[in-house]
Amino acid sequence: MTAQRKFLFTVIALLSLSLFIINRFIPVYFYFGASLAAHKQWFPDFYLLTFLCFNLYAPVSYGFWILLLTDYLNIQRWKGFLIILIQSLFLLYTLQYPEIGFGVVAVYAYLLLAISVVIGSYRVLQRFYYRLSRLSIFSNENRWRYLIFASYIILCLCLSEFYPFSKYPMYNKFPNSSYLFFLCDNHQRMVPLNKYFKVDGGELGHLYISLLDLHHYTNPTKENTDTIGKEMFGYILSTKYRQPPFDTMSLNRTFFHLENGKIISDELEMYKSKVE
Amino acid sequence: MNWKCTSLRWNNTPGDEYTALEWRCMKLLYALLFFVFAVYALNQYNSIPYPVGILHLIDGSILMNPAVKIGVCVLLAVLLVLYVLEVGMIVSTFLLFTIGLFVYSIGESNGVLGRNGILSLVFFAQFAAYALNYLGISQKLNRNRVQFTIQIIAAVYTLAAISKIATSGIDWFSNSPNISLQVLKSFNYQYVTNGNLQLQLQGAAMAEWIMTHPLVIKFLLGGSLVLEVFAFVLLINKTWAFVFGLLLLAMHMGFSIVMNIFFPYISLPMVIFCINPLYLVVVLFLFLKNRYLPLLSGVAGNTTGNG
Repeated sequence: MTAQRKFLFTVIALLSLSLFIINRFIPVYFYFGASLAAHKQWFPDFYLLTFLCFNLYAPVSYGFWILLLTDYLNIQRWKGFLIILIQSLFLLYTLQYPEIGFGVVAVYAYLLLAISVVIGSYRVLQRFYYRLSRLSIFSNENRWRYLIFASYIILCLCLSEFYPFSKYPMYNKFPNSSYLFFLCDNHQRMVPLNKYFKVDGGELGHLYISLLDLHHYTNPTKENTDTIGKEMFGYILSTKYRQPPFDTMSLNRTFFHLENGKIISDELEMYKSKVE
Repeated sequence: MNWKCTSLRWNNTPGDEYTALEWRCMKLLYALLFFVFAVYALNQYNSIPYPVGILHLIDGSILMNPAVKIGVCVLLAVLLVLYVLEVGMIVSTFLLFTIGLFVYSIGESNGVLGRNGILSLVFFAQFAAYALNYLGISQKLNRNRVQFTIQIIAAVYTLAAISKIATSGIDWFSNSPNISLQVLKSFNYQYVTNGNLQLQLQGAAMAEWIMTHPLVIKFLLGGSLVLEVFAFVLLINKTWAFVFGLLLLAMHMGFSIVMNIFFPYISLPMVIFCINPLYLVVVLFLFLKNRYLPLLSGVAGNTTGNG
């Protein structure tokens, strides 16, 4: 066993042992057996990350821990399987007590699966690792060439919209609809936004989408649109840097869509109020 | 600082190394870009109505105080000067990254999803390069500080491609006539902002053209998706980064002309670190100076001698 691998295994073993200690104070084991839907409910912003961490951390770390034991202490393979047998008996024992909860059982079920896979395929993994390490892209020269690239992609896919992470969904679909927001004065004349407010048309489009997400309006009704209109109107007023020469102003929305190869536009007054 | 150029070729170092001059040109241009965008973000917004990102975790309302805004601008200016002068790079790049996180989250916290994470992450990538060098883990600082930055840029394009394929799949091409609605919208966005009626007419004409030329649009969209999918070739070496960077620039220019859409937060860092325009200008200037100045001085010398 090389010094590097010994170090890696020791770190992973310490991490997995730390789980036991954390469990003493915070019962995190509950999350291990939870489904993706449950994680989505608990952690709406990070559910994929938490699901993967909780579901992969334990089996992988325990697997490495057993590997460490069998390899580092030079334990023979059959003794490794003996450990699995003892763990299996423990699992059967815990099944008798439903109050322990499925979470614990699931952890051990995953654990046993992982240990079996790791021990059973140890030689294959070793050979795979050896061949992988000889590829030029993993050479010492290129070790850092793809690391930030891959890490950032993985984190963005897991964390979604959490600045500075994003899935960069700009124009990832072309739906048969688009919206335009604009202001009109009391004579129904269009008011150029940047004449009186520090906001532009694109920002209003983004704001509308963000407010739909924030209020969880998937198919906004008239009431929903009114609510959003009022909020958008308030936001526009908050960016005012010059007093407009009119006292009443309306926020309007144009809905563009294609019908029989022609662009149709429908207008809607979202909110009307005094300019204060 | 030594601004002397040892060679006049743009790619004047073997493999993947970047010269000090190339690095300084990138830094100077990027520092200016970062400062302009940061001042814009601080000046544009007066509140944080929908806090997201780091502002969701930490209350950033103090950033809306005018005195604090000025203080942040001054601090950024000082840090950027240190950065350009290559002073305390580990500290300055880390602080610029941290301040960038707060400043650029303000726009996102106003519902404007600018997707400008790249702006602050560029400094994180450079911080990583300097930290690795300081810790003795990787000594290739000349390469890493630029290559790590390009990794972030390539990742953004790859993520955009993944997003398109995962969300729309083949429909991204087949629904291309619908792009006319997006084009109409983006031209009208500018019309409602500044009241220029010409933009509205341009948008209507462009949307009409797109609807009558669906094959051309499918070809252009397909080309841009291929470019985004293969963005990882930016990481092969600096020559690939330069050539592929030009292709990506052409893609952005195409979007700008056809759709009136420009992504400055993504395209400008890409141009600075992959194409390095300031360096090209400096090289051209030095080339012209070396080529023609001796001739001019010779003529001047002769004139003086004759006179």
